[in-house]
Amino acid sequence: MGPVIKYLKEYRFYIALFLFVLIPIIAIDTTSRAPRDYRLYDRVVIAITSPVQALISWGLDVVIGAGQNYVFLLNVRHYNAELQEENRKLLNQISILREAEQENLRLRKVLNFQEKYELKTILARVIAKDVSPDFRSIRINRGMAEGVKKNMAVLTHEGIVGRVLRVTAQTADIVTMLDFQSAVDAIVERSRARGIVAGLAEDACELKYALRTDDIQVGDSLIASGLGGIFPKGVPIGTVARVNRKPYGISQEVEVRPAVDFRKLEEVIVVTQGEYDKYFASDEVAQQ
Amino acid sequence: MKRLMLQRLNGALLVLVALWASAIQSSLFGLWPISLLKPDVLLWAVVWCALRRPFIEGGILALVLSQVEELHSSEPSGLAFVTNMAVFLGTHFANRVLVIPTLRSYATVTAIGFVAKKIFALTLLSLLGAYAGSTLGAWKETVFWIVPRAAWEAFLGFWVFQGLEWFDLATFKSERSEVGLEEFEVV
Repeated sequence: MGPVIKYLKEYRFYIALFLFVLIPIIAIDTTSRAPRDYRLYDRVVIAITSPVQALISWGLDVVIGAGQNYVFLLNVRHYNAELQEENRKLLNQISILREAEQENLRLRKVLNFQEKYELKTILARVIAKDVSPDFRSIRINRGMAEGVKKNMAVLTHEGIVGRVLRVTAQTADIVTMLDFQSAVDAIVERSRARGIVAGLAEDACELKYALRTDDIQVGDSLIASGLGGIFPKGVPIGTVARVNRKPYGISQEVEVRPAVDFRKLEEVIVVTQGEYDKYFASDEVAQQ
Repeated sequence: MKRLMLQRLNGALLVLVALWASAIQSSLFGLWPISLLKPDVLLWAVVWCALRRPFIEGGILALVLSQVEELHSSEPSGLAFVTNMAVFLGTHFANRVLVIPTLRSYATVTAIGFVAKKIFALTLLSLLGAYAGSTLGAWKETVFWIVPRAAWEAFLGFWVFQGLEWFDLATFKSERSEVGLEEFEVV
């Protein structure tokens, strides 16, 4: 045993160097495209850091809110008058849309479709964003204790935010649509062209696998196709910002502006359960 | 006794400080437009470990700090380990070959380490096919911002290293405090 220990002491630098090279190589696992789930010591670390993150985000909200209240009071009267006019117009629109909605409901029942589905959701606040500027995940203040599970859809009233990547008891990490690893199955609402929306930059995504012959124009809206079993069909994804169609090749380059403004994202809703599970692709239901 | 305990606890305290710093970074620098100036907090700690710690101790701390980075990011498993260890080993061996005397030099090393880390991470992800979207798009996005972010990282790093030097002094880990102790014992 003595010579072994002597050997280890004499060559400890090289042994350590070998281990420092080997451990990261063993640890890397990009083929799974997702970080591993939390282990016990990871949860301890999250338990230490998440209160700090929640406190800072609360503090920032208070400061920004106070500042905004002071600044906006200056324009309150004018803004109030504008809002009242807008409210009147919206009320008119609501009554027209209700009529259209009723008609739509009747027609869809005739075709054996169900239009509306009920979703069970949880409102959550964004308390932190990704440490690395190259990856775009966010952390919310809801976790397993509130019923949040891995791969649940995360939305806002504007559209898709992302999906749950991993959870602890009190928090959950969401990989957003802007992340390089994210892929959402999408349909162009107007022409029904299909593709995959993948993350590209801080405020843009790209629509991959769109055929060169597909009819896609700037301004077209993209919605979730429902395939994949995560996002309900019809939820907005974004709008087409740029189209580059070469005279040759199979596909075209399409840049997408997300429907959600991720720079100002403060609250999100996590879809914990929904009847939409039966309606991922309504075409399949129609054929039944 | 107190000095010895503080010296022994220096590593754990450094990790704790890095934990809170990354928590502050991910929440405070999450807001736009401050998010454009988001620094890589753990890179400072890794560079400090490479330049001011013995090889084995610094390497273990770098591994722990990489784990902290992974917990607060959606990056693929192991990426932080590989990139941070590459920065650690590169900086440590550069310190053996070159002279890196002052904190200003540390800031320069940080800027170079930042660029190397980003390019290495992108290369690795591209080779392993980890992107769902366009690899070229990811490269464009990163390369566009790499110089201003490296400069910002170096600028802030100078002040952070001053703080870390004070931290090492307070926990009797720095060479100056050890020299001071020796002089005290001689007297």
